[in-house]
Amino acid sequence: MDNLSLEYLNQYGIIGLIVFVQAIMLFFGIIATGLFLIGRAIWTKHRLSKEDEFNKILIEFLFESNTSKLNSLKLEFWQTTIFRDVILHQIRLLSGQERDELIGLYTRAGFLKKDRNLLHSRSWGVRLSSLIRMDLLLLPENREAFVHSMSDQHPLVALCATRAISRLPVEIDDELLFSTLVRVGGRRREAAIEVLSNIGTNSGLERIISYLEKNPESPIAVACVVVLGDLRAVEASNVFLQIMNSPELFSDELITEVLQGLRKIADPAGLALAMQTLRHSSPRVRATSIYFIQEVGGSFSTEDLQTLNEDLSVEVRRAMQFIASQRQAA
Amino acid sequence: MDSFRHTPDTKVQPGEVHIFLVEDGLIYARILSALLTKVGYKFSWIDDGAKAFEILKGGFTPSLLITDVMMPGMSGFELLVRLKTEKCLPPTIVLTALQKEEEVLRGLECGAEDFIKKPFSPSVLLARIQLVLSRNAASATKSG
Repeated sequence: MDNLSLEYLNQYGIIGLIVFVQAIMLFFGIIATGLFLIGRAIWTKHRLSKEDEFNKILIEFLFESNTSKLNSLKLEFWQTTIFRDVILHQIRLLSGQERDELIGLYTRAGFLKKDRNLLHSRSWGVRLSSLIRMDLLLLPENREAFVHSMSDQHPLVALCATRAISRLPVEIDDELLFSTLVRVGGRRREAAIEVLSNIGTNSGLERIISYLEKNPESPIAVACVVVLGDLRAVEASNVFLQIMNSPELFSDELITEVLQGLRKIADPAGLALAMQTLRHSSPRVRATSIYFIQEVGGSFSTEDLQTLNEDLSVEVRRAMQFIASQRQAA
Repeated sequence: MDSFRHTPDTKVQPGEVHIFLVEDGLIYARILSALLTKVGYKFSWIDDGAKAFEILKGGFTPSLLITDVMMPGMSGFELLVRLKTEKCLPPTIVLTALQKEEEVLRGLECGAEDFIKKPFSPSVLLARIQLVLSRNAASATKSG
């Protein structure tokens, strides 16, 4: 053989070896994937059948006072999480005495204690899952655990703890509450609104009003205004007007929400200030001012009407159409 | 899936109180089955609004219909409207996770006699069922 042929064969052999090794790897990969899928299907089937069995046992326990099956229940370690999740699922579905009985069972089975211990886990996912489970129980005795988790480094864990504590009828330190919300809720508006709504409903709106008065530039100021408006907080009128007095200092979004808030509480005290925001640089603010003025019974000057009719922004044109339709209906 | 999931028994014996549940949640169906059979009511269940409509249109007249709102295929509200149009709407309680006032009003407009929000207290549900049943029994006696 000449040099060229040897070279060719050597090269072909290496490529062949590579192809062979890859084929073996692919074969084992397919086997492993197949085994994984079979294992998962078996586990899902087992889980569903166990869920069904545990659901029946719990329903018998609740409605037929049959505790024999529950008492004789022996759980393998892999079945405890299924049982725990079934209890939690039924807790979600029921209220009243039956819910209390299920919570009692959850506690007696040691799940709550385990959840509390897991709040110290190094994995934030584990801490978050425990908090979500504990939140479902709505137990005031979990307050300390929630307060501890509000300072968690991971924002989702801290937010979940804040939301959980806001749903309980317990005292929360304002400084801790608002500083946590600023830290973790500034960019999660919906969650911040939910927490503040719970606080407003459970322990009064004064705390939110007082916070907004002192911190109108806070990242959660918009959420505070939204909640005060939604809960029709007439007592928030002063802080709304205080913000409206210097609209240039605040974001367009905050001014818009303040106008919405004044609209929701139907406070005519904001009329003079809303007249000024008709010339605001943001079309959203101008449009919200129009809605507010119209709804609290204010009137537009001829000059204002002319300017607004010439306004080309979609928001303002829509608001002007609204006014026209209201006037026609009247 | 199991013996609990089957074509509902739609035979009504004279004098019995038959409660028909339309709900796509198996656990809710199990809970209501345990609760209602314990107090002596006959209970049947189906998980599909469209099938429930066919059964009720076909002449099945339960003493009380309990329906969920959010179901695949046909919503509880649509079921009520269609039953009302066909003049075969039994006394109905709507059982739903919807929380808004407008939705409650819509349910009542569709012909529901009462509205129970999920999660529900079984004792409260039972009391409401008894109230609707006695109200209907009283009006049937009056008109009869």
